[in-house]
Amino acid sequence: MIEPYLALAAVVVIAPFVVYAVSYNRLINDRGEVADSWAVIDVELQRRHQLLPALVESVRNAAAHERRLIVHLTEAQAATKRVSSPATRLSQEMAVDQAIRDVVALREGNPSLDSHANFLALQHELTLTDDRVAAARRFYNTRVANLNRRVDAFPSNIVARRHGFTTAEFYGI
Amino acid sequence: MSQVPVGFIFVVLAAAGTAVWAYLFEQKRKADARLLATERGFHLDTDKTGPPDEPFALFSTGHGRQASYCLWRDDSNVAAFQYRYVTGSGKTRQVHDFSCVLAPTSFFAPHLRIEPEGMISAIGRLVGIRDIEVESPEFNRLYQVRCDDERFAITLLDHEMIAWMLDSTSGRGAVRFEFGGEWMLASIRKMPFDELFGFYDWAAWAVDHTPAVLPSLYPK
Repeated sequence: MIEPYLALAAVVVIAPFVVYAVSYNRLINDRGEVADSWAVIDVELQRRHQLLPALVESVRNAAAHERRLIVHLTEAQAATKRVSSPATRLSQEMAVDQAIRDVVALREGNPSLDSHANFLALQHELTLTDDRVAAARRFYNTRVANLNRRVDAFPSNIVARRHGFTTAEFYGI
Repeated sequence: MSQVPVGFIFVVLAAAGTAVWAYLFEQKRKADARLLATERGFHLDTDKTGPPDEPFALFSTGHGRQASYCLWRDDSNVAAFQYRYVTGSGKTRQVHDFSCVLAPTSFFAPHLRIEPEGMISAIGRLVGIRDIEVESPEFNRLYQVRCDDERFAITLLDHEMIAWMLDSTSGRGAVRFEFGGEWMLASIRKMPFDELFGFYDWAAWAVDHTPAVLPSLYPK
């Protein structure tokens, strides 16, 4: 039979390793979830970007005297391809948002756009895509909060520091 | 011929009288309920039936499960009803009564439960065991969220839904929500029948105001 003090000693020796391993695996898992949820945002943003050429095409005639709006939208879209971090990406995507809003606002001076089925369908699709981006963003932020909490909390903060886990950036906060 | 004791006859008559009185009282209650439902534009079925077929946790708990006083409108698939199940037997027998609203959704939901935070989950939170958390600390403190698909829970609980739940449940007590497949179930400790109409409208509003993006992400 195992002596009680030996069992206790075994627990004292083994427990820290178990806690360490569990913390490490959870950090790996959380970091993976942050990456996965960022990929979902990226997919939704790509979906929005794919709608933009059609949007530009549908307003081209109406915006003949407002070419700068289309140029601005195209430039803003191109700028998003040169960034990767959430914070930088956010500011670039906000510029795209504003440019889209300006282009969509052309309907105010061009009532003919309201009867343009393609324009209306695109407008609906853009709104839906914005909702999808917002949903993906909320999910991403909960994953980031989860990872950041683990990186900061004891005892996982010891493991995080030792293995180079760092907090992630929120998107849109 | 032996004589029947007068006391026995008295007891039998009293029991029969009580049974008749209870029957008439129940009939009157049902008639009043039907009248009230008609006045408010509802149909009412007062018969007792088994629980609905939808696979919600509430409908598989305990035994002696029955729904009654089912309310619905012609122009909607939403139904409100009183629901009861029993746990234990003999001295440990307990009857659990609820008022429920079952409403169809425009999306196909993974199983999700939103319940008021209990003592055990509150203690768990203190030691770092967390359920699904949304962006509102107040909501996280008041509600426990469990779901097969965390992304669905986060998508469902957007700012509008959270604000609505925080605002409107305060005067109504602890409402529990379950989503599964094409249905949403809202349940609460049993309320008087005349308050069931308000609960119906309240829950129907909730299902109408779920985020518009859900049918696109979780199509039927």
